[in-house]
Order: sequence, then structure tokens, then C-alpha cells
Amino acid sequence: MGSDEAYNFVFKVVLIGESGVGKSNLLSRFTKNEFNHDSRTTIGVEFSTRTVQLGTLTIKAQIWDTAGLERYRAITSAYYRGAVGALLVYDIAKHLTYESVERWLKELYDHADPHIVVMLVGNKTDLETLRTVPTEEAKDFAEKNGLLFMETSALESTNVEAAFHDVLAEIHRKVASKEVTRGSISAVSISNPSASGGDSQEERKTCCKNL
Amino acid sequence: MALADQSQQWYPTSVQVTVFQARNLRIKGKNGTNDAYAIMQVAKDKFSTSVAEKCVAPVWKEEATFDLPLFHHGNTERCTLYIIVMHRALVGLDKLLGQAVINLVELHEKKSRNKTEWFKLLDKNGKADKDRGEVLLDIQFMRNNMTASMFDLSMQDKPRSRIGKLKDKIRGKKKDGFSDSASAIVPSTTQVMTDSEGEGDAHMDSPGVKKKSKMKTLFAPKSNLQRNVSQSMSTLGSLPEKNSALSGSRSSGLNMDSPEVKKKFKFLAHKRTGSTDSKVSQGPFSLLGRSKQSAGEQNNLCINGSHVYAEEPEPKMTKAGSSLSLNSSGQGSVEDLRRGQGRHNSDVSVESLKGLSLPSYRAEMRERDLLEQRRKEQEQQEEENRQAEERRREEARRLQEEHARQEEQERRRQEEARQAEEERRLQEEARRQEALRRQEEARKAEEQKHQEEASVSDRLSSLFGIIRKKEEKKEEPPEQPAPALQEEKHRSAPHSLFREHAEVPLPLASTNPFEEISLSPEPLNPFEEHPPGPQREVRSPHTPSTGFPSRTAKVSAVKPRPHPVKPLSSLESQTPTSISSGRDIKSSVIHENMPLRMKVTSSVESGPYSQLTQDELISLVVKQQAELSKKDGKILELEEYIDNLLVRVIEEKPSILLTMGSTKKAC
Repeated sequence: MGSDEAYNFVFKVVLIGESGVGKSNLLSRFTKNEFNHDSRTTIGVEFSTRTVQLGTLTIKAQIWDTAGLERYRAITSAYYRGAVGALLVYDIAKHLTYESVERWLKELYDHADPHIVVMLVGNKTDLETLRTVPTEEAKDFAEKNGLLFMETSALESTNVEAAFHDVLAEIHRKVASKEVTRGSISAVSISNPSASGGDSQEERKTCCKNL
Repeated sequence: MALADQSQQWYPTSVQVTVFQARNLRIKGKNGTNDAYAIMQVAKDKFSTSVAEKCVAPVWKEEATFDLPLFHHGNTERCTLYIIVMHRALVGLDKLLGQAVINLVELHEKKSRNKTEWFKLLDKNGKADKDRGEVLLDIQFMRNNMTASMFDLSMQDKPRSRIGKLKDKIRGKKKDGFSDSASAIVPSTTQVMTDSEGEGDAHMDSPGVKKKSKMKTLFAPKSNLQRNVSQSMSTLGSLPEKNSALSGSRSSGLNMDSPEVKKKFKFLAHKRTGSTDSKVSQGPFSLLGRSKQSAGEQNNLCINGSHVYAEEPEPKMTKAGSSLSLNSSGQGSVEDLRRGQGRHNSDVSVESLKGLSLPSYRAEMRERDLLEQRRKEQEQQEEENRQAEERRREEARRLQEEHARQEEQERRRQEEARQAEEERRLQEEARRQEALRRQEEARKAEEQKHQEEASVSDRLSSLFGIIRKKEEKKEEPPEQPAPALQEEKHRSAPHSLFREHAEVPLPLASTNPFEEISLSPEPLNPFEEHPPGPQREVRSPHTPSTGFPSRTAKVSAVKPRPHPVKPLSSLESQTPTSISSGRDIKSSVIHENMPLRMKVTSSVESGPYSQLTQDELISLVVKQQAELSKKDGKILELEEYIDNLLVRVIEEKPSILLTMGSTKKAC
């Protein structure tokens, strides 16, 4: 069913951001097309995968999610290790989560590959009426810091696909342009077609839909 | 000459300080407000106001009275008033917002001063570091009034050189102070003086006899006595060398700190049995000598006294008769002393007593006093001549008085019985209360356990809940003492009109007012460890304004008690406790039921922690915090362990971390 189909790249993407901004729901929306209204705080670390088609290339996105806790944890460096992309999520209705973006950026750059592709994601656009973080402000900030930017709603499934797609595309662009030839990205890309255990995300998605 | 000068000067024996409000305070609390309270301190006496919560410009309107022993420049340390404004911190130490340091001696000399004025707040070293705002204070210097009536009546009849003079002064003051009774007292002046002199003579008859019994009575009547009496005695004991000087300036050294009184008192008892004894024993006399209306009050005194000195009221009763003779012997010894060794001393002692008995009065009254004084001086000489004669007369008088006294005693005994009954009832009430509280605590503890089983976050929030509850609780206690105060206020409404705490007018006004009052302190029981004892102090000049245990006066660690300081006046007093005022009024109307009622309402309204004192609550929270942090530590350890496991998994077999959902789906 294509689950064993070859893919050209495996990209590890991490989700970061304050607790409660909707990282886990972004992940489940993207990988399972699910949204859990009363999801709990994430405990531990987990990841999901989804294979996407970028032009002619098949890319397996391995998206990692963990609790958005503040303090340093032993897993921090392990969590970032090998990540080629990151979605830095904040809640457009909670300005505090936006204010801590810089702190997350710093942690990211401290532990991850310097060439990591980062997208600033303003989640929960469904709460437009409660918005406290203006789109323009965040956009400006993203530009200034060389980040991609997208506003999403995991609840309404708005821009979730696009966000991940853009990040993966950008990663691929970097890899393809040989901008990054060393470090984790190349390592990941090396382990491509023959890798085992690759599932077709598309198929799974249909599964999920049936559920 | 010098003496005369001094005696014409007006020395306050106490100062009444009212803390009205503060403004422009620095903000140390949350949300730009403070939970502010003020500590008033002179020497070692401290009083704390209630906490004005969540405000920028707190208004307290609470007053306290301090004794001013040795009020002169050489003693500025003990004559300095500190007003310390604090912010009550929920956790940790309360924060200093600022303090005002006021030299009372200088202030007193500044005749032009306003009684009510703003004082700047300084830092903890008493320096002006930055703008800390100001506090509005009313500072009134006073003479003690309480004992005035007592001594006037008891010692009245001692025409002795200086004593007489003093007495005159006193009387003058008293007239001013007790406008009601003035007329009644004036005529009796000279007469009475002679009387007591006679008394002294009579006592001489049995000079050295009955030492043992004297020792006993020393304590028994003592308990009857108001503080002042003991004070004066302590003065004598502690400052013997100064006595001669003291006799001139009656104010100096007359007032000892109330906290010290007890100690010195005892000490004295050993040291100067004779003289002290006489003075002590005069106490009851003076009480007895007073108008009959004061019977009820006496009673209260006794009870309180008994509390303070851990003496049963009964002995006093039984000794009433014998105390007469004892008194006389005591008196005799006084005479002896006077003649034998230190005339000064004994003179002083009496004078000091006189000084104590001076009613509090304002500066305006001084003129009259001076006139009186001069007249006194003349009289003194005459009086000395008349002494012998007067003593004889006194004897006769005493016989009459004895009758009256016996009657009094009868009445008192009845009172006491009633009081005892009430006390018993209240104690029962308290016990029941205790049980209830314990139950609630147990229940709480259970709840606690349940909560602890819940998740960490749950527990944290519950802790906050507890703290919040605690806060509510803190507000609760004040409600309960309030009624007592209010009642007090009802009762003392006439007093506050004069602010002179006129002892005499009150009994005249109502025959049995103290029976009711005796109830009022009781409601405090559950909250104050010393039940009814210090209540009498309300009347004592040392703390004319407080209905609170002497303990409060002695506190060194000043956590704001619910209501350590009595609110200003009958009208204003309702504001600080406005929530409960309605109920209070009701309860004060129905005196008998009051304690019951209040307890019921409180327990109904304030939940499980209501019965705990603030200290208990704090310790409870602290305990729980400790527990929490211990568990947090464990959680942290676990998390670390899991993290380390995770790291290994991530590095060696990340596929394990594939989300459950997807793995399921994969299957």
C-alpha cells in the first residue's frame, strides 16, 4: 500500500513553544487529522510521522512533540539533536506565549543545528476575537529573525498542512542547494530510500478518516 | 522652691495615641495595595492596629494608651513613641513601610502643637531615606484617672503635708475630669482627708502584728486593686532613693509600665511589707469607700484581679472583714515608717498614689489645679496639727464604713456567684467549640489527604485554595471580638464623651453595668488564651482604651491580632468591623445569649478553618508547604529518571516513541 515505498528524505521536525499553545494538536491534525478538545499536557516525548510529496520527492516528516516546560531537562539536547526543522508555536490569544518566543529561539539555537529551519506559528486563529498578538507584529518579528511565519488553527485545520509543507519544502530547498552539507540534515537525508519501517502517511490518514 | 515649681508643672502620666490613617505609603502588596497595620510602641509596650486590607491609604482610627514613667529628658528612650507601619505579608516576614519616631517629651513641651498631626514616616533606622508617606496621629497627654476615685475615697482622709496638697490637686482635677460627680466630691474633700488620717492612726494600734495575714492579704487585696496601686508601690520599691525628689514631682516615676507591675509588685511584697501592705490594703478600702454603685465594678475587678494574680475571688470575700483590721495594721506600719526611717518614702508613696489617682485631664485644667495646690499647702500645715484628732474621728467613721462594706461584700458575693456561673457556662461553650474545631481539623486533614492523592497541579491549586481560605479566615476572627468591643463602647459611650474614662459617673448612671460587661470579654475566649482576666484593664488607666488582655500590652512579637486596639469611638468603631456590625449590635442587645450566638454564626459562616487562630493557620500552611515541596522533590527525581530513560530511547530506539495513535493505526 505504499507504506514500504521509498522516500528520499527523513526530516526531523520539532515542535516547541509554551505549554498549552496547541503543539500536540497541530501534530495530531497534521499526522492523523485529529483534534482533541480536552487534550492534557503532554508528558514525556513522542513523535509522529507523515510522508509528504514535494514535487518528485517523497519526504518522511518525523515530527517530535514534547511538553512546553520551561526548565531545562535532560532530554532537551536529545530532543533537538538531528532536528532540521522547528515549528515555534505561540497562542495568538495569549500574549505571554508570544513574549516567550525569544526564549525558545535561544534554546533552539543553543541545542539544535544552526541551519535549522524555523517557522513561527501563531496558532488558534479560531480565537480571532480574543487575539492579543497582531499578525503584523509577529510577522515582522519573524522576518527580522529569519523565520518563516504562518498563522494556523489546529481546531479548524487552517493552514496546518501549509505550515508543515512550507517548513519541509524549505528544509528540502536548503538540503538540495547544498547549503547544508554537514551535520544532522545530511545524516538524515542519507538514510533514505532503503530505510525500513516507513509507513505511508496518506494511507493512515484514510484510516483515521474512517474512524 | 524647686519642688513647688515642679509640682506646678504638669507631667503626664500617660499618653493616648490614636492612629487615624496613613497616606502616600510605599506599596509592598499585590495589585498596588498594602495590607497595612500600624504598631504603636513606647518603651516595651506595643500595640498593633488591625490590618487595613488592600488599600493605599489605610484608615485605622485605633488608639492605645501608654504609661509614661519618668517623663523627662533624661529618659527619652522610654518616652519615645514609635509608630511603625507594616505591610502584612501572607508568607514570610511582614514588611516595613515606614516608622514615625516621636520624642514625647519634646512634643509635650511644644505647647503650640496640634493634637492631631501628620508625622513623616522614616526608614527602619529612623532616618528619612526616601518618601515613605505619613501617618496621622492624635497624641494626648493625660494623667491617670482611674485610681483617682479609689484613692480619693480611701485615702481622702489623710491630711498630711504633701499628701494633702496633692490630694487637693487631685480633687481639682477630678472635678474637671468627672463633671458629673464633681459636686459630689468637692464637699467631701477636707472631711475625707481627715478620715483617712484617722484610719492610719487606728492602724497604728496593731503595728507589727499579723504579719502573716498581712502577707496573705497583700496578695488578695492586691488583686482587687487596679494596676495603679501596684504601680505606685512598685515605684517605691524600685526607686527608693528617688523618693524624696519624687514627692515633689509627683509625676515622675509614678507610673511603671504595666507589664512590669506584677513582677515588681511581688518583689515589693517581700521587701517592704509594711508600707506596701498598707497601700495595698487601702485598695479595697478605697473601692469600698466608693459609691455603692461601684459594687458591680468591684466585683469585676476582683475577678480580673484574681485572674491576673491567680488569686481566687473567694478569699477576698472572706477576708473582707478582716481586711479592715489588716488595713489598719498596714496603715500603722506606714506611719511607723514615716516616723521612723524615711519620712520621704512614705510620703512619696502616698503621694505617688495620689499622683496616680489623678484623673486624666487636659492642660486647661491646670490652672484650677494650681490654685487648689496652693490652698493645699496651707491646709497641710493645719492638717498636721489636726492629725491626732482626725485619727480618732476616723475610727468612728470606719466603723460605719465597715457596715457599708459588709453590705458591699454581700452584694459582691452574689455577683461573684453569678459571674462564676457565667464563666462556667462560657467555659463549657469554649470546650464545645474546641471539640468542633478538632472535628473540623480532622475533616480537613482527610480532605488534605485526598487532595494530595490528586495530581501535582491539582495539589498546587488546592494549596492556593487553602491560602485563600486562610485569608478569609483571618478576616473572620475580628468579627468576634468586635461585639465585645462594641458592647464596651455602648457602655463607655458616656466615657468617650469626656475621654476621661470617668470611673465615677458611670456607676452612678447605671446600677449594674458591669455585670454585662463582664460578659463581653468572654467571647474572646476561644481566640485569646487569657479569658476574662485583663478585662478590668479597660478601666485601668494604663490601657483605658483596650478591652484586651494585658498580654497585648506586653507583646513583643507583634503580629496583628484581630483587634488588639480598640477602635476609636463608639461611632467610628463600627467601620473597621463593618461587616459584622449589624450582628454585633444585635448580640450586644441580648447580652446573655451573645457568646452562644456569635459562636454559632461564626462556625456556620466561616467554614472549617474559622476556629483556628492565625498562628495555627500559618503553621498549617507551612506544614503543607513543606510536604508539598518534599513531594515536588520526589516528582522532580522521577522526571529526571524518565528523562534519562527517554534520552536513551531517543538515541537508541526512537521508534518506541512513535505516538500510540499512529502505532495503533500502523497495526
